[in-house]
Amino acid sequence: MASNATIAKLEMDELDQHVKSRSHWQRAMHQLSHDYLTILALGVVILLTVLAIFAPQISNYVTGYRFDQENLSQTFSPPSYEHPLGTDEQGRDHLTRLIWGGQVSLGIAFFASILSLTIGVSFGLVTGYYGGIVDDVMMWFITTLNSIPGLFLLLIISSVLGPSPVNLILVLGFLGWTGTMRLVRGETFTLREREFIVAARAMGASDFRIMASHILPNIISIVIITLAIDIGVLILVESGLSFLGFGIPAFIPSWGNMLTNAQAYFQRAPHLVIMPGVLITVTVLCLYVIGDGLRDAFDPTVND
Amino acid sequence: MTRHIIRRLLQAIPTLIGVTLLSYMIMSFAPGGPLSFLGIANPQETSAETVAALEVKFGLSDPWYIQYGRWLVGTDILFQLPQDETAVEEAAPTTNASSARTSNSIQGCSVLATQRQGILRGDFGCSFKWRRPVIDLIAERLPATMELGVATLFVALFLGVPIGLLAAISRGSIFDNFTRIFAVVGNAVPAFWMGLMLLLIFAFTLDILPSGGRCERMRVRLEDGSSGGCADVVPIYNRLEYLILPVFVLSLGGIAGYSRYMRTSMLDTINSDYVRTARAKGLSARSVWLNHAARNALIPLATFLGPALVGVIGGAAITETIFSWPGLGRLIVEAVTNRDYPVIMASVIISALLTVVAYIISDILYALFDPRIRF
Repeated sequence: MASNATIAKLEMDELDQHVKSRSHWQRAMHQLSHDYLTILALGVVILLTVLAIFAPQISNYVTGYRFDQENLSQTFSPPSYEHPLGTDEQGRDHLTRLIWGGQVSLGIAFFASILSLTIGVSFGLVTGYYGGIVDDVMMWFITTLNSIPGLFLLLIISSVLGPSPVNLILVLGFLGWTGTMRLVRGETFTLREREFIVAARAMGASDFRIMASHILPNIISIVIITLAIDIGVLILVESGLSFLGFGIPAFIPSWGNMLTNAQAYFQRAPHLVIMPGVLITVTVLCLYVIGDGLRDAFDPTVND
Repeated sequence: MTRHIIRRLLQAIPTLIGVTLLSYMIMSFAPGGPLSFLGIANPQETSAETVAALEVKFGLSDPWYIQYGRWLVGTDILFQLPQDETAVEEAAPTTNASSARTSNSIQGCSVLATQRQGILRGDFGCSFKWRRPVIDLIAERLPATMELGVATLFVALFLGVPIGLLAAISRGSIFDNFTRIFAVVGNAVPAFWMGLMLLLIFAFTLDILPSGGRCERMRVRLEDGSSGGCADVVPIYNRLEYLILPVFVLSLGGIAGYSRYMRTSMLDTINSDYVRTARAKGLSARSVWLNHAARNALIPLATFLGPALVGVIGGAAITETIFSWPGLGRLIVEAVTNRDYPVIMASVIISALLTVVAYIISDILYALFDPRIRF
């Protein structure tokens, strides 16, 4: 039972906040700065990103191997001083390849999700704002696309285009936007009827202006949350495709295609199977946690 | 209700038309053009006259929508082909090795056949690689995938739902927090790696579970003396050890998803007025939760079944490959590897058909379970 004094204090706090009147972003940042789990996850992702960006320097000065430097006299060697994580079936340094693999996996997921977000947000805004026939055609297209198992389409199209990092970014980007589009469409749908939009229209704002400077700022927090989770999902998808041999060509290491021949390693070097998967899991987990943390921070109405 | 079902079925038609269009587009993506798609000739190595003759023969010089129509309904109804049987025989000597193999068709299935029944009558053509009607290949593989799918759905529901219910009832407890962590981690682990790790542990290190296949270790002798096809002979309860690992990998996402969904749904229900009323009447918490709340909390789950089946079919491509499961997913991975376009197109259409049907069924179930839904 809360005493009167506590209630009074709570009311004072409320008043206090009212006077300061934080903006939406300030409140979100304040909330985030107290969310230690999200900060930890953010730290891990930043660390991995830095490692990925500086992969060439690291492999030159720290590990001392190139990612394609073979040494056929030292295949499947267990972890040792020269090779902290051992070597693979062609005697290549596993640690170096993991760092380079991070560059490929993170880079592809990042650029592909930027692409898919751009498409998803634009289409979502347009269909949600105009509705009618535009919406009907778009929804038909999306229902069609979604009724084919996504992995099948990814497999087919990336095999037709041939494996390359750029193709993979395009394929993942152009096939992955439907979820975002539905989300943005729904939000736009409800925002479109709000007074401030009607007011903007009454003042003669063009459709583009309404979408870009009135609706978009109101959904940008959803977009940021989706970005974090999307990157995570795309890392999983990319690794799955590369594992099957349809994503990244075999000579470029990615966390997925380093596992392509994993079943052949079971006997001789189980350690080769463990690390790429652990890295994928940790990265995706951190991105999900960041997405959750951002949602808590930006969307105070959602409480589990 | 009947009207709703009919409307849902009608709504599926444009979707399926879209799927066939999309699938037809895959053919035009095929490197080397439609002729190499037909497995006939590499256009670069064939003389211009032969290519032209072949294009007339197969109607490739017609507009795409006529070709699409032929592919859909066959060559004998609306869009008849010019009846000229000589073009292919003339072309045969100049075509490359693959066409020589092609013309030696087995079981009356020839890639070179110009007369088609059309996919609406189940004629998906002939597999380049297997030299057999595509529809037979798919009919062979579908039961394995369905077996995996049904088992996965079963496990995911029977573990995910109770976990979610318990987590909601004991909100904030250790169990609740543990399942929350499990759900997030379960979604973050790549399925193929999970499969590899399980194989490494249970098949290679401990050697207590088979390393793949549907029943390969069992050495079944069929009546005609041949082995193989054991899955049709051995009942499923004798093959459970083959199902354990793939089903675990596939259902992990489902368990995580259902438990979270169920928890949210149950919390919503627990906080509703009628549950409070029941408690106020003096019913025990347990009775209210199980008899009143859980029953209603389960309803939204029906809408989950459609997407879940899609997830299983799609996810099976990777899982089936790892566990050498002879299903549709592995068939499509093999077909993509071999650029076996008829198989690819047919798999896409049939998996989409399954998906659409699953969505319709889950919609109808939802309406049946929840009398508040009126259409």
